[in-house]
Amino acid sequence: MNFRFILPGSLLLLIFGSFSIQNAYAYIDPGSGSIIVQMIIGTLIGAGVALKLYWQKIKMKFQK
Amino acid sequence: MNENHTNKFFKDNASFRDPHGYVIHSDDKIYRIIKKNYKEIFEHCKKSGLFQKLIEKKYILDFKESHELEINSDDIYKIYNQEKINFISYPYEWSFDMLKDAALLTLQIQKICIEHGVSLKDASSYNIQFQNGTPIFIDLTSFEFYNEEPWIAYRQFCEHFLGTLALMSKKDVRLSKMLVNYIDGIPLDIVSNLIPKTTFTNFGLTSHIHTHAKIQKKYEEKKIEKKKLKKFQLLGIIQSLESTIKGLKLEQKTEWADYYEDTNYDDESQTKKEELIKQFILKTDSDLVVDFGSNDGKFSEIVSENSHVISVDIDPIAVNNNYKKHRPKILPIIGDLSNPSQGIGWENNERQSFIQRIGKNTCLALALIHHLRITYGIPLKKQIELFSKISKFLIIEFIDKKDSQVIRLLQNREDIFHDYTEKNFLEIISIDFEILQSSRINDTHRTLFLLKNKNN
Repeated sequence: MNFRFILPGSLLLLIFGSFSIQNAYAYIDPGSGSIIVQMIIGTLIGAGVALKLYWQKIKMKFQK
Repeated sequence: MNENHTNKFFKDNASFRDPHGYVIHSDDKIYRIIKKNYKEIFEHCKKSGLFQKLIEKKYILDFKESHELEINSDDIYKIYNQEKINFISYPYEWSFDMLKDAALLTLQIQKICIEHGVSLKDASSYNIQFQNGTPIFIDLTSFEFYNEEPWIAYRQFCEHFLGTLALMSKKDVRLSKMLVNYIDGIPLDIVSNLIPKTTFTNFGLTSHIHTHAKIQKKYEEKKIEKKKLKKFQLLGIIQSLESTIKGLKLEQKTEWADYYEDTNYDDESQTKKEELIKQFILKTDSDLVVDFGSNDGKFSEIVSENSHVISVDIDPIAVNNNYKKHRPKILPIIGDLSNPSQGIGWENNERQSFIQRIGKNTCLALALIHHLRITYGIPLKKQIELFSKISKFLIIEFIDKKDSQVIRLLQNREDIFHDYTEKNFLEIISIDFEILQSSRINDTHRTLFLLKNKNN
């Protein structure tokens, strides 16, 4: 991994990541609760994917 | 659709919420006016190949640039036209599988959008129409740039599609009628309260309905900071919505579901009726045929050889059975002629009433008017008055009181239906209609009439 690019890259991400592009196209109300629900389900999915990857790593270790 | 309009072009009644464009109708085309504030995303949808992919898959109604309309306005970017939909129908008129297919189409489109850096900015069921027996997305201004944020249309998707389908599948198929009163989808707390507690074993319904409803209430009117949601997470949510919907099935049986197993025709009379209808329909001249009380579309199929057919029945299961046959020239609709869909929304006119939409065409009223008279109490005169407003040609079946089905309808009640005689029927129809042909069906108590409206 090339560390020279990671630091400025993450700085950029930190700066620009905090600006969400203003949604000029939306006209319906997304609903605050609906946003939260997606975050919850999204986190579960993220955890599920992480778990799956972790499980695959363990399996590989045992197969060696 | 246009009999009531004196102008050739008119603006769509529902086309006012979207700041990015609107719709104009003419006799044979739909025009989509795209405003300048939509130029950037629209061009991206074209250049990225998104539109091309959606058109190839027949997910979206094809569109061509148009220079026919002259509109004096600074904020117009371009105008496109699309093929006209034969009959505009609304989600409360769709059967279970029609709504399910419309929901799955919306999700398919959203998945493809995300792969092209785009997302649906709304997921209303009114973005979908049925053409050639399948659902198709019609709106060109439903797209926005995808920014790894939570899906703005997730709430709307759950309220229009998932909640309604859950109610139809898990509680009662007739509950889709609630969409008449809830024009922007059924509130999730109502759905959550009505569907059985056993749905808590279903991960999808628990997340997208029950949890969603509770959290909506908790965060009502509260401001939250902007969030990020990674692409794989959003795709996971969409996958979950998709598999939840695919898992919803129609369990119910209704009164009319097995009608054709159980009718009054022997094979010979049935064949004779079919032959007569084939003959009669050739003498009519309409773009559309509307088959009232069509059940699962048996006679709609016969007349669809030469025309597109709107196949209307009151029974949601019969209409669903009709739809599952996927006949490209037939559009099945849930409708009750004694109480047709009313105009709803702003000024009761955003989504027009059934009668406004249906115009004047060839109508079939087979094995129908005795039900309207005896079960629904509509006098013959009033029935024929309605038919004269909506029919250029009318193929109608008169069944007299000696027929066993009519006897069955009258068996537990007093016969107060003194106007229901063939003599009276003939007098009434002669006011507005000319009898082109009539024929008794073999030895039955049923006579088929081919009528032409005198005011065509």
